[in-house]
Amino acid sequence: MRIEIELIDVSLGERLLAGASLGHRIHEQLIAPVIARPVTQRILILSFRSAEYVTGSVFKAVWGKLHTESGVPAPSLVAHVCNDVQSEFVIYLLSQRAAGLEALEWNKNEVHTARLHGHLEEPAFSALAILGKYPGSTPPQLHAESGEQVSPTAWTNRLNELYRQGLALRQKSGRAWRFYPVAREVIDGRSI
Amino acid sequence: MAIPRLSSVQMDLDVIALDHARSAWRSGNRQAVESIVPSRVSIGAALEFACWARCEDTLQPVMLRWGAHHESISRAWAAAVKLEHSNPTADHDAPLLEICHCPDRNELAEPAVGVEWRYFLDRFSRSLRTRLSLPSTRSNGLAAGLYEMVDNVVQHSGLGDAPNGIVGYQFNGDEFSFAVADIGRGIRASLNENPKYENVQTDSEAIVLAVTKGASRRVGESGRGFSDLLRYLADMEGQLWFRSGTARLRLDGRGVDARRSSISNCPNMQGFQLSVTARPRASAW
Repeated sequence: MRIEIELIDVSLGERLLAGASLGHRIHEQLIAPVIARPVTQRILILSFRSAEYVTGSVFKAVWGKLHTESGVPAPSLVAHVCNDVQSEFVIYLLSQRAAGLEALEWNKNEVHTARLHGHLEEPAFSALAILGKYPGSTPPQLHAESGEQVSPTAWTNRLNELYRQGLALRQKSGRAWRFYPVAREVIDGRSI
Repeated sequence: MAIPRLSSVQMDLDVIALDHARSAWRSGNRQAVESIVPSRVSIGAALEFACWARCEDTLQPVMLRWGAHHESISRAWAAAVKLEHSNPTADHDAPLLEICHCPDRNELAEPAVGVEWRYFLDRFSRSLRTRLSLPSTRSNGLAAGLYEMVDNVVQHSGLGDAPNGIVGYQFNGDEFSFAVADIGRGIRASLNENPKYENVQTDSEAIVLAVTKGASRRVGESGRGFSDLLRYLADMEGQLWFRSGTARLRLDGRGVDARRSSISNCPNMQGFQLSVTARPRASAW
């Protein structure tokens, strides 16, 4: 699967990012034009390089619009987050009962390592870890590889849940879906 | 019955005293208000008074007299009528008192346009660090909380992209205060836009829903600003006052638990006003 990694500096060189007005502007000016460009598959990395503090309203306007009930227009990760920004990101994710990834290492075609934050059920997390070992697998293949006493249907549900949350990608292959992790290796940061 | 003429009455002017003054004024006892000589004025009262004077022209002689003795009142009035944008007092790096007109939507959304507003926040944050020894995590959080409250004026007051709002902060010993005030439509009218809350008929219900339950005019969304503000004020002995329509809500800064709040009636006034006073203790971090 060919993937393009797009790095977007959403911090605008600012130390403090707050308010829905600013959040909406970041989405409209920086993110929406990137999403509108046609590519086969992209992953967005949202850099908060200069930010010392980011409020939930900004995450709601920026991250929330990329993770809606109706789907994920482009899988996204945050990056370059200081402790305070990471802490506010986690509080936002937990308030939404959602999970999110922080990119740690990447190149132009792949995210090598990411840290998972927020809320994700244990079965979905273990599915994410196994998917990292066997990228491009179908649910029956992962069922066979995992050795867990879980039905292929349950695997399909877990993988679809990862896809719905923007933690995995999928590609049609004949009648089946092949799933790919957004990050090759995922570190469990849920307890941070 | 004749209203007794009062000689001058010295009193501290906080938001509750201002409610009493407004009751007296509305009931026709204007002399009682005219006789008040405020000794100390809270930033919340100064901003609310400026909003009241904007809504009621006959009050302006009182405003001018009180403003002559209290910088916070004169500056709140100057900001309310857009005479000044930003006006730090004392040390400009870490002011004791600053009041300005709320930025408009463009100033909030475009850092390059809202430079003055960002300098204002920087000074507030620096004052928290240098005057009260707050760590940058806390000062940034409180500046972010103030930003959110000001953004709410643009988002919810119904006054358009350039609403007539005021924002200010004040430092007094080991205590700091900040306030945001507008003369827009108030919380109930804003919430009524959302079908889920279209039957909310009292200001008391509306203010409790918005502040403690995250109710928002936007369908399917919940507001985060108030709960985040309470979180930023944790362990600071914070007192928060919210006023809209005929309702005034008081919360302490420990959380949104309703057992720690009180709601009371106050004389009706346009808009929404919020004020916060807190006393951080260095031992808390």
